[in-house]
Amino acid sequence: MLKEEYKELMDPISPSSELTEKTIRKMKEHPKAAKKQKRSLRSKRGWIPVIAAALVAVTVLTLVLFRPFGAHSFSILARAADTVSELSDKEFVTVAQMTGAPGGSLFLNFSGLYGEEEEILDENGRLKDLPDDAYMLLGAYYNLDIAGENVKQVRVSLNNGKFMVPDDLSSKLTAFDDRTESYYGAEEGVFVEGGQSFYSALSYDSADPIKGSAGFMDSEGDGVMWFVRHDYRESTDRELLEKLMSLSSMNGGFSGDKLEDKDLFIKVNEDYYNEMFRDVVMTVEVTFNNGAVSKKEIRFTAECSVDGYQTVNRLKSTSPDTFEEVTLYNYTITLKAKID
Amino acid sequence: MGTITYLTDSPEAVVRRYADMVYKLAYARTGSRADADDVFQEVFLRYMEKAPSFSSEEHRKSWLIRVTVNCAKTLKASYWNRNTEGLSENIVFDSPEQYDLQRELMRLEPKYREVVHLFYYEDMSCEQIASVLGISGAAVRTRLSRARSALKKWMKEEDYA
Repeated sequence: MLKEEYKELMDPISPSSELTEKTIRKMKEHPKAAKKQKRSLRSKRGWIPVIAAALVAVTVLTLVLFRPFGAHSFSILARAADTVSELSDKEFVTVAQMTGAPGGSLFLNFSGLYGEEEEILDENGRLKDLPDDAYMLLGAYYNLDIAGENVKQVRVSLNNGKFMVPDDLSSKLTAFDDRTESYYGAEEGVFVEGGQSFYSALSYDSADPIKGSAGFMDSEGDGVMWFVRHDYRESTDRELLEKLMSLSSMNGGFSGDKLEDKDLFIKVNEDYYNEMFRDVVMTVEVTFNNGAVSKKEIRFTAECSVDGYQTVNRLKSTSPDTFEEVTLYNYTITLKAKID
Repeated sequence: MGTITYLTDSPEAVVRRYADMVYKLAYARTGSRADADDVFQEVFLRYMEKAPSFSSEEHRKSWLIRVTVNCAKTLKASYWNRNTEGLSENIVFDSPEQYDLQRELMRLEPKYREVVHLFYYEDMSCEQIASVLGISGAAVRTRLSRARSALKKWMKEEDYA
């Protein structure tokens, strides 16, 4: 197919002017637009807010420079507490409720390997000899709904593993633009979802490779991906893995066309998810733009069952009021491999 | 990354600048003008709702592409869409070849169509597409290659090449 042919086909496809105008109108009527307008009106009230802000700044500066013992830390604590109580109803509470479920993808990632399927499997469909330190990263996606305009950073610790979501995601990735293929260790214990400009560097606890994890948050801030590292030699069945890889497309995920062995697919996925989400302790720490920090610990065990293409994940929390039963569809599996 | 410009533009300016891009991608992904209309509105309302901050214009463009794809996916996965059949649309094509191409494109899975669109229409590199869609560069190349093969095969079968 020629590029020109495609362009000619798509050129006439445009939104109607009616749709465009209607959309702009809806945007202008959006509550957030009204809020912005209010703010700008307030800013036009003259010098009073500026003088007030200057007075506050001078007071704070005075306190900082000539503070009595402990006053500085006290004021920060007070500010944090006020802010959290103000914001937490809307934002922090949603952090504590996982509203999604593992979804979409199970990633198998082999260190020391990169390339197409044939580079990982030999001609008989067997896994080639992998380096001793080869491992798999299994990933699952959760919706956490932790985004908010007041949220600066979210840190999630999962079973001693840690990952963080810096506020400026893209800048973190600028240095890695030329390494966009897959996951890799940017430095010891750190994994980066390369090339995904909305995802960011995550720290990883190498002290506990099996239970440690890393993850990232998606562009809208309402999802978290995490990974659990497995030593495939110890924690997985090599034959199962080979079969699984031979069944799957390396990069595109399961499209269904090779899924003759559904029992195998189901077994592998159930085993992995069940292992991944057994006795999980998740700590979520939210840093707000003004420096306030809120922290919450969530413990849970997930029981996973896979029913054909339908994945039913029952999340049982071991702390009260945390999870609900959810059902997923669109279950896919993606295999990725990479040489660091 | 491109030059940092436009970042303080009004929502209206953003819609006008990206209307075509969002709509075409939504259409490429959904294959329906009615669905593209829905996705179009949803994307820009999310833009207002989330009020994301961007470090560059390229960043904003990537955000819009990503959200367009997500909205199209969500729309297609909705109960309504899975249980209804769209009405045939009256799209006028310039030539029989265009009609054939459109028909064959619609036989591709949406994930292939979106890659084809971003590559051929938006002139994005595989790495840029990978970055925006959150998949690997290899996956993009695989999808492109499969899409091309499928189109070629189908068009040969139809005696059109």
